[in-house]
Amino acid sequence: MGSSGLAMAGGMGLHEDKTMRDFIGGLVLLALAAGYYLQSLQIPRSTLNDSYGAHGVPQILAACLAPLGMLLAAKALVAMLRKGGVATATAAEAAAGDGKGSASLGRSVLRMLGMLGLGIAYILLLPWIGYPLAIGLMVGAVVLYQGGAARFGLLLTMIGASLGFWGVFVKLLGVPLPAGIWAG
Amino acid sequence: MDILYQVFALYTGTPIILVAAIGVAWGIVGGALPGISPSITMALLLPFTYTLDPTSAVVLLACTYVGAEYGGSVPAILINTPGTNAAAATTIDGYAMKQRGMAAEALGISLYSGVIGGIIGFLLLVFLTGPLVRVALLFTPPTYFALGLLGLSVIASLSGGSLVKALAAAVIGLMVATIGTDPISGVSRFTFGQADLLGGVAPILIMVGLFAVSELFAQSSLGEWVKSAADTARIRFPDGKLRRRLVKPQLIGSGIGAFEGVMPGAGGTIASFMSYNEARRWSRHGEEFGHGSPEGIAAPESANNTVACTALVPMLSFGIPGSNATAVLLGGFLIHGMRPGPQLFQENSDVIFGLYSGLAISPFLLLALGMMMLPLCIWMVNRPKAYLMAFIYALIFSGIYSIHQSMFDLAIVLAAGGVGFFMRILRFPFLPLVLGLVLGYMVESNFRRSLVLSGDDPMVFLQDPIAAGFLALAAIFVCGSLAAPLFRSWRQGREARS
Repeated sequence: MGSSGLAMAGGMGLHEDKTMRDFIGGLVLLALAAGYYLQSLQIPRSTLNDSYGAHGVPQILAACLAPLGMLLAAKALVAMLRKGGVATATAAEAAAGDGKGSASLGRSVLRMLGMLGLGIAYILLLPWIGYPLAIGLMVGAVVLYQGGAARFGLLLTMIGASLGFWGVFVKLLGVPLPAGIWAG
Repeated sequence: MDILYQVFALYTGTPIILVAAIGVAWGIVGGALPGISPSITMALLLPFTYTLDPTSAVVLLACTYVGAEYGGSVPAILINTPGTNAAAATTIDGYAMKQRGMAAEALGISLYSGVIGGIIGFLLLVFLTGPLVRVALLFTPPTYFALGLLGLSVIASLSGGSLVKALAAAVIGLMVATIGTDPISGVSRFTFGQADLLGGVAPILIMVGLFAVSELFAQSSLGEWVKSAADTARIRFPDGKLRRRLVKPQLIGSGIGAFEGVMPGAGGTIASFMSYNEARRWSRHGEEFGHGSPEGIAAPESANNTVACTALVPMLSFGIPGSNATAVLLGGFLIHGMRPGPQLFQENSDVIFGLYSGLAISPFLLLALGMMMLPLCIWMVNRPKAYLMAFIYALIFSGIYSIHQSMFDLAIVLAAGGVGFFMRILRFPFLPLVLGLVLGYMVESNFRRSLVLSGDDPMVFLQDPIAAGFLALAAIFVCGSLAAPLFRSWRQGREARS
């Protein structure tokens, strides 16, 4: 998984709850298989179809994913029951974790949602305020969100980022990025 | 003589050296940043390759991979933090040497061994790929279907962690590949009325989302990186006596790297740790390992730089990427409408020739740029993480928009990043998913084409001897992976009883 192994093992400390993680993972797979199968029923039939049809392979895939999800969830459930119930297993596993300054799962998810929100805000604002302003604002917002100080240097960085990215992508590479309020 | 002329024309007529140098330089910088793996470094470049000619695009990506494998050793030696997973073994003796005031020597051994590994890896790539391609030319639709299944099962079995999760990730990748227009009947599937989905989901969007965006999401809750002292910006190459001592660990590293690179799913991390152990076992100075042994740097660095070339063997021969980085390289081929495999050697031999030329000069570029760029690497590592993350985020959004000028693509990348973040939490591997996505079309279209040609006779997959062999191998890998933990627990139980 690339560097994620380093990042996650070193920082997020989510290795502490393996059984519960697998149980949730199994349920997610089951839900995904069910949703995907239901959607495959909506695929229109065509006179050009072969014997399997456009829906054939998707239904085979759904049928493959569901048992994998069941297996993962069942193995985790058995492990939890062996350890004397969900609460005990989770507590024991949490206690077994090394806890080396790792952030909690909730905090990690909230931080991730914040970054995701900044990305969504960029996508929504881009057509209106134009690329140079949007990219500069996003750089500034991410720096502040990641704990950078709100000082004059940051403003210079934002202006530099606006001009730099606009120069490279619009002027040098000729990418028609939305101009927004700068159009005309 | 013709070949010599072609090589000369290639080096002088196109900016292949420039492109290779940019790739190596970018790879060194990206690899030197903790948390930015070779695959992420390459994924960040993917959108830019869209504007390049196919040869330059693949040379750029392949040379980035080469540079990143070396770049990872810089923070491993200077701040005890590997820039890439494969450089983790280098921290053991590299940082120990740095603590003894020998950082310049450790960096020199790392670069020198990386260059040796790169040269050996390139030679192996050239000599191994040709024969495999000739075998691949015999493939029929059932063979391609079986090969796709074999690739998925081997990756799922060997990528470490849970086999069930890896297989599930592969199936999810195949599911994503079914989005868009059906390859046989032409009806649309899972498009939800979105015209942007009719052509399917481009693998590049999923790769950038999974590798790069999810890494930023994960890094968002982690602390600042460790800083490096600026006075370590020097490299000192080993003298003649030390070079002779390093020959054995370099050969061990390159040998293991060659084998692990060709094996899908193994990769540079396993190769570097295995070669470290073997170098210690065969060393006359085994007691120095762990306390700053030059051999302890030479072996893993030769190994991971050899892997950077030999990992391309299965990808170029069969179109099966064996690692995250080669999956991104495959994405580079797909962007330009090329699919690695035997047809690539017939239809786009110029691209293969260009790729080989770029890789041939990459060790020498690594040597030059590795020395020149060390101060820049240290400067980059010392930048505030908040600023680096902001610029990488901006680079991703700008680069992805450049491909199709589509806001929908940006949304897909963000969504893939979110999915990747939760996959990291639930410990699902990325590579089987990416592989399922890029092989999905090949698996489905050849499966259905085989059945159409055989009048719906499923025995067609067993009548072709190569296909039957691939399917048997896939079954062995999956059954072996399922049986291995059972066998281990049975043996442990027996040992405990005795």
